[in-house]
Order: sequence, then structure tokens, then C-alpha cells
Amino acid sequence: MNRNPFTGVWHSGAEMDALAASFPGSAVSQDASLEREFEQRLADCPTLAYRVALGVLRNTAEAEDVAQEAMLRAYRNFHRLRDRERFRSWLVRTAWRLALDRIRGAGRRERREHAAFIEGQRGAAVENVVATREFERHVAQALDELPEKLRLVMTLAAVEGYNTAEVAKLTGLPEGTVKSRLFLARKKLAERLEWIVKKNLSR
Amino acid sequence: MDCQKKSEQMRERINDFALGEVSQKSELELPAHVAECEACREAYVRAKAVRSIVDRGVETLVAGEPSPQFMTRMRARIAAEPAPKRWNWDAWGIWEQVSRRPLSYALGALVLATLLIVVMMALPRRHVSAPNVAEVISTSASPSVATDSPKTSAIPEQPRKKLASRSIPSPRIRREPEVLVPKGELLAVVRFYEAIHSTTVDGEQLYAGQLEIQKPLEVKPIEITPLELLETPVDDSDKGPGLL
Repeated sequence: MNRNPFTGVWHSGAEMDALAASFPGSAVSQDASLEREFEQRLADCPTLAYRVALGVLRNTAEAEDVAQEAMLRAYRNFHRLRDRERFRSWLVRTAWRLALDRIRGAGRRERREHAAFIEGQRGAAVENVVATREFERHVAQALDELPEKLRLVMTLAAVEGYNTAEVAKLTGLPEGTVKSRLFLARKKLAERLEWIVKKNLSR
Repeated sequence: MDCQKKSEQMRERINDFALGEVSQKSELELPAHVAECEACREAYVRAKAVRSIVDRGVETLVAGEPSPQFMTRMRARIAAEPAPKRWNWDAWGIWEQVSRRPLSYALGALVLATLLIVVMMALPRRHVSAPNVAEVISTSASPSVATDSPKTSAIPEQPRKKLASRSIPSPRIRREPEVLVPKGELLAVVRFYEAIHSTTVDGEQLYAGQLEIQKPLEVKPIEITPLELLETPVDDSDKGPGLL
């Protein structure tokens, strides 16, 4: 006879899941945990996919479409993307590829949103230079002319606040490679935009 | 120290450094130099400003959040999808089936294995180490077999060369050697070959076969009849101009 007193505890959701997963025939609980994990990714990753797509397409509606498609593909392959870093890296690559495919496929380059740019607002301050739509258009053109390797690193760096370690994780490249690619991208962009920067800085 | 005039190269280095060039030498030397040299400091500050403008320019291109409807549409699309697949090595449920009736599957496997063995044994076995007939003939038979003008040949010359150049991985798939045999002696060679490969080798038969091969070719003397002029009767009734 078991003389131990009954010690019942309320398990938390995670503990209950772990307990349920330890029993045989735990397919349902595993599916539930998969769903829950994907919900977490859904909360923090769409913006990343959206910004990566926006960096290529420059069109909010199309960037949203691409981000959704990338997330949907991630959902279908979630059984092998459960690790957070792996998921983010996979999502970035997929969104990048889908955006490039879209832009190549339909020749939408001309339909980007930078057609109407605002003249004026020019001044010596950096904020003012960057704020002009004309400058934005020139940056977009210069970025499009970069080789794909440099463009990806530059775009991801901009998305991640120029954190090279994060970009290295997302691309799977060594951090040194990311730094050198970032430098090359900046140098090319600076050469390409030198005239406009000088013109604005001298005012 | 003012190095603006003497070194364009230095300005280039400072520019690269400001843009994020990765170099141990630059990291060690340039900060100290920039702190001392006013012109270089100015160049550095300017390059930094350019970098800042470029970085912020790219940032503006990727800035923004998805619209509020994004998540609603995302959830609707996910709801329409089947549940995410779990990794399942036994996707077809084969092992599950087997584990339910292990005896039945074991018996079936045994029957299959037995059948396979029976079929393998029933198949005709090829002679793996068959003697090279060409060598046998060249050593034991008369030289006429090898040296006579070829009248029969299974494969023309060109493909034979190709076959010879191929690497043969296993003796099991080795082709039988080709032998050029005069027409008259083909039967004897076949008999000889069969005698060698038959399990009951008859010495007399073998010897007879050899003798038959060794017989020289019978060449009938060619009779050449001398040319004779035949008199052709001339028909007088022919009104046309005659040849003679």
C-alpha cells in the first residue's frame, strides 16, 4: 500500500506538454507544441521577411505578399526549422529569393514606389539629405546595381541595424566575410552617391 | 603633423577605414594618426558622414512594418493549410504494419528468400574461367586457322577495337573471344570447343577434332581453258552493213 501522501500540483503548460510528450502515442501533443512554436515565430519573424522583401521590391503590397508566401513555406517545412536561428536564416533566404524572382519575372522595376519624389528639403544636415525622396531613389538605384552578394549583406545589415554578428547568423557566413562585404558595399555606394552627398554636405 | 599634401594614399586609407575596412594594420595605426593630424581628422569625419548617409539611405529603403491586415491574412492562409508535418521516418507506416504481425511478415520474408535462392540456382551458370579458345587454337591447332584469310567474322574490325579498349570489371561479363575461322573448318572448331567445355571430355573425340582442324585446306586446282576463237556463221540474208 502506498503510504505517501497525495501531492498533486498544477503543472504549467510547458510542463504538461513535456509530460504528455513522454507518454506513448503523443502525436497530438507534439502537433500542438509545433503549432505553438510556430505561433512564436509568427509573432517575431514576419517583419524580418517583410523588410527583406521590401529591400528588393520597394513596394509595400508586394513585399507583404512575398513575406506571407515565405512564412507559409516556412510553416509547411516547420518540422525541420524548429530552431529559431535556423528558421530566421531560412526565412530570410526564402524571402530574398522570392522577391528577386518576382522582380525578375514581371519586370516590375519601373512600378516601384519611388516614382514621385519630393524636391526641396535640402540642407547640410544628414537627416535632411536622407529625408529627400530624390536621394532615396538614387540609393535604391545604387543598391540595385550592387552585386547580389553585397546587396544581400547590405540590405540585411540595414534591417538588423548594422549588427554584423546578426547578419553572419542570418546568412551563414563568417563575421569577417560579412564585414568585408559590408565595407565593399558601402564603398561602392559611397562612390556612386558621392556627388549627391557632396552637393548636400557643402550647403 | 599635416599629411594632406604628401599622401593621397593616406586619405584613401582613412576613407576606407571610416567605411569599415577590416584591417589590423589600419586599426592599429589610423586612430592614433587621426587624433594627431588635423587634415586627416577632417577627412575621417567627412568619410564617416558619407558612411552615415549611405547607411541611413539604405535603412530608409527597408524601414517599415507590415500592415495591420497582414497577420489576419497570414492566419487565414495558415488555417487553410494542413497541419505542419512532423518528421516521420516511417512515413508509409511499413514498420507499424510489420510490428503488428511480425510472424506473418517473417514467414513471408522466408518464403521470398527461398524463392530467390531457387531461382538463382535454376539460372544457367556461365563459365567464369572459360579457356581462351583463341589461345587453345593457336597453340594446339594448325596455323592455318589463324593465318588463313578470314572468311567469317562475327564483329567487324572497328567495334572490336572499341571493345578491347574498354575496362572489364569482372570476368563474369567478359565476352567470348572472337576467332576467325575459315568456312570449311567452322564445324570442326565448334566441335572442338564443345568438347573442351563439356563435362565429359572424350580424349578420342578431342583428338579427332584436332585432326580435323589440322587437315590442310583443300584447294581445288583451277582449270583455265585457253581462249578459242569461235567462228560465227555469217548470214548472207542480212541486208545491213556487216561487221566483217
